[in-house]
Amino acid sequence: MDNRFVKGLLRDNPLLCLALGVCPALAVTTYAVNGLALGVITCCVLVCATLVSCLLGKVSSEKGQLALYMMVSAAFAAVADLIVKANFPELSAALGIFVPLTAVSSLVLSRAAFAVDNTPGEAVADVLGMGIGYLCAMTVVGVVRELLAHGSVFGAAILPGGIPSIALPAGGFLVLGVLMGVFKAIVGKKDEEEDAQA
Amino acid sequence: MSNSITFRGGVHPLHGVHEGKAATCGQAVIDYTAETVTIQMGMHLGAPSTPTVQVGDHVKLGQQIADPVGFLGLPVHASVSGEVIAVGPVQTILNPAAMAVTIKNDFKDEWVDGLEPLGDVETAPVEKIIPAIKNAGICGMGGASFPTHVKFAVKEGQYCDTIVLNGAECETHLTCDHRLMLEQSKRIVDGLRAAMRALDVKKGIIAIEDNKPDAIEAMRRAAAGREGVEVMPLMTKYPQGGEKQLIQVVTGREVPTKKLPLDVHVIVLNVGTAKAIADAVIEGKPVISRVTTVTGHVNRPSNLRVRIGTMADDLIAACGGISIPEDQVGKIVMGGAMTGFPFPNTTHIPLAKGNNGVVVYSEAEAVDYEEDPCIRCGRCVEACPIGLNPFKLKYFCDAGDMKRAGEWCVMDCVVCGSCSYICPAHRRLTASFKAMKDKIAAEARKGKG
Amino acid sequence: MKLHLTPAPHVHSPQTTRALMGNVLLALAPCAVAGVVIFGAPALVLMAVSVLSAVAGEACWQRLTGQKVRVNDLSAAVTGLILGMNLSPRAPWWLAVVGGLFAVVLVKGLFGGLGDNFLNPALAARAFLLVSWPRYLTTWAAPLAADAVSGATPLANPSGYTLGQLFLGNIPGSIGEVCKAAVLVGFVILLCTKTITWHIPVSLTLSTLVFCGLLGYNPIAAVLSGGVLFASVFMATDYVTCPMSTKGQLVYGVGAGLLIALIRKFGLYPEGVTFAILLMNVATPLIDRYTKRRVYGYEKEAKA
Repeated sequence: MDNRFVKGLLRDNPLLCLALGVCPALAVTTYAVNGLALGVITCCVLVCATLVSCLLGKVSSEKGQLALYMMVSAAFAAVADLIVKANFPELSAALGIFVPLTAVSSLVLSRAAFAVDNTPGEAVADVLGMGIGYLCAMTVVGVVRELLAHGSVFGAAILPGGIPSIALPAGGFLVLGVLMGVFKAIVGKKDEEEDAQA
Repeated sequence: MSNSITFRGGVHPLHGVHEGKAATCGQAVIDYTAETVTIQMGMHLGAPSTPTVQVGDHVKLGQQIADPVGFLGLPVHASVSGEVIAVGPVQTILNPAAMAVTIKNDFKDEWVDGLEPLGDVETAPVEKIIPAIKNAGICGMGGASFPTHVKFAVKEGQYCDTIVLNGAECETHLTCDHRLMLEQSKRIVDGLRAAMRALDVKKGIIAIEDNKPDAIEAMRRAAAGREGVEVMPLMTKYPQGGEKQLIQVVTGREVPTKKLPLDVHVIVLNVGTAKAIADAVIEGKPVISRVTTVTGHVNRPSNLRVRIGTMADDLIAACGGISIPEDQVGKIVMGGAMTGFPFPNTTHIPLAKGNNGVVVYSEAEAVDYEEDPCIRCGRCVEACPIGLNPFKLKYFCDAGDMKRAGEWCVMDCVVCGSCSYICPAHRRLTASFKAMKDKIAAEARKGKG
Repeated sequence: MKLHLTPAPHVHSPQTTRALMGNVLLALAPCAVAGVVIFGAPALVLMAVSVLSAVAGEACWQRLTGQKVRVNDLSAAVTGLILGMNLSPRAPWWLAVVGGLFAVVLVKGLFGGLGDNFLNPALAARAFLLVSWPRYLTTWAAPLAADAVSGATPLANPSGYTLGQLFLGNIPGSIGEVCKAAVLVGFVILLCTKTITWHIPVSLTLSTLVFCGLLGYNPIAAVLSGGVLFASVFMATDYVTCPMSTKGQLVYGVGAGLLIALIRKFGLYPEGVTFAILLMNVATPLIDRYTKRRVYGYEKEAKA
């Protein structure tokens, strides 16, 4: 799995393998729709910021490039916040400050560092993979948590009740931890097979 | 009678069954001489000696049959008179092919000429004592088999002010030292006095665990009137007889890590070694016999005085043979239960100078436990007389992590077995520590040589 | 002759893991009996379901993950029984099932099984149940009564009960912890069988006594209310999560007592024992690190 895109999706999945962007994940995945939404927003901000930064070309020093990346992503985060507030008010209320906080998400920061050290093509493939990987992971965690805590999936009631504590941060950690383990077990096995062949 | 001072940690193995000693501690030592003896060249800690006899030679009792090799070398002597019938490798308890000389006993017990007795220990010339010890081939009779004359080699800047005789016999099943103290008390004190005079030491302490009140009494009588000698009873706890623990309780001093007892001005000797010293000084006789406890599932458990090199199967036969059917025999161990070595699938193994016991266990007693996960109960930490963390150390040893194992002081482990004994999860702690210690020592030797 | 060629030592102490766990079960028996006597059949059902779900959960988990099934070392049974004893007699049976599974799979199994859990499994499960379904665990039954009473336990209503009632257990509370006399019997059993030492129970109890007294409670009543005695004997002494050295154990007990007093006085919950001990469980590795013994032959701390 040398492809950067596929890596971002599976082996280096930011939420489930690299533990990036965990704070927003814990906070908003109490409902699947919120998880999906923030995942989409983060992915968009990430991809846009990377595209624009790469287009702006290599600025003076490495630190300079990093600062530029951060400023661009902050700008996109602010834009995203305004869009969501205008068009999806209940979603904005549910997600709260985590939309503007995308600017300083550990996911964005780490991808900034990567983009600075690699070619634009690699950087775009990386953030596409990571962004979509994050989005999928957020959705999965959201679905599991909503099901366990409220007994519903995307608002549709499935079970009569749930374990309320899963909606608390403690429950969030538990679910995330177990999912990380399961994910690693599945992806890790594939990795081992590939490494054995190589 | 019992001393209330003791070392930290320790265990009480076989506590309810009198440590397995009840079968043999009450009877006198029986003399037994076998038809053949197989005397190993490497019974002592150090390079194996080189044989100086060949097949067909006739040797006399006490005749030197091998020359010492190297700094830690010792001469080896014939323990019977008779004809040499083999010089070659044999299987021993630790070595599948150790060089040995086999002699067929002619039962004449003709002593070799040229023995140099020095007479009474109080009047023997002081400067001749240590050479006499070397020439007699004396090494530690308690199991470690360190050449005694090297133990007495006090270097520039060192001195010794106390000699401690180890009469603790803390191991399970063994009573040979106990009986020796009852029957040869004067000789033991003589040996101590000889050592004290040779090294100009003023204080000699005979330390005995308080589960042997008759031995304490006997040694007290023998020590009465002897200059500088006193008897000290000790609380019975395993491993009180371990050198480090003995020195700590008897003298209050602690041997610093990687150092020797002589660095805290103490020398420790087994009571059997002391008796051998007395024999060498008074009569000029080399080491030719020792007392060994044969017990467990044998028909007549006893202490036997046997010639060095007697085969273990002869010993067992002399005790009436094994008392349970052969398929019910689980394990036979050379030594006590805590530190002894298991016999391979044969008892045709010769006895060395440091072998103090042969114990036969039944299948039921020899159960091989499976290792369970550590439950962090802390019993091993409490039991370790050195203050190590056995449960933690095992993880490093199992992973082969020599660096971390060294940091957690695996080299200070005295391999007493207390931790393995007490562990509820049957973890093989001691065995993994021993393996790691050997590994680290081998690496160190490779680095030097 | 076929001999076992195994390394020394060749004898072994009769105390095995299974024997130790068996001793704990034996020591828990008086509390279990007292619980059934005071609260009736529901208590028995809860304890039984708890034990069954813990044992079954552990067996299934070990099977699923390809390990040897070791439920006969009785550690899962002990966890289940202690969890059951921590529930209110009015709790629904499925609460015991969820708690039992949480304890053996999430707290114990996921971290590596016996010996590797960082929290006391029964206690962590109780905390989880408390946070998830608070009303089930705070609805109490009056003793020897069939109806539910969300009545005040001695913790909420300190002056409503005499010391005698507190000691014998004729009060509302969790199944296993109400009868302090039974807890003391259990303590003696554990001491006599050399399963635990006195350090943790005594230091925890005394510390609670002192700190509760300092914070304005009646010290004796404070120790006899809630789960202090039961926890100090059975839960704080869990081998895996308490310090190894006696010095460390004393620190652990004192710390737990202080936390119990603080949580009771200033915290949200009337019962501070659960979280106090869980917090000290987490502090145990730190305590172990700073209470390591000096190694023979070294002047001070030898290792990292």
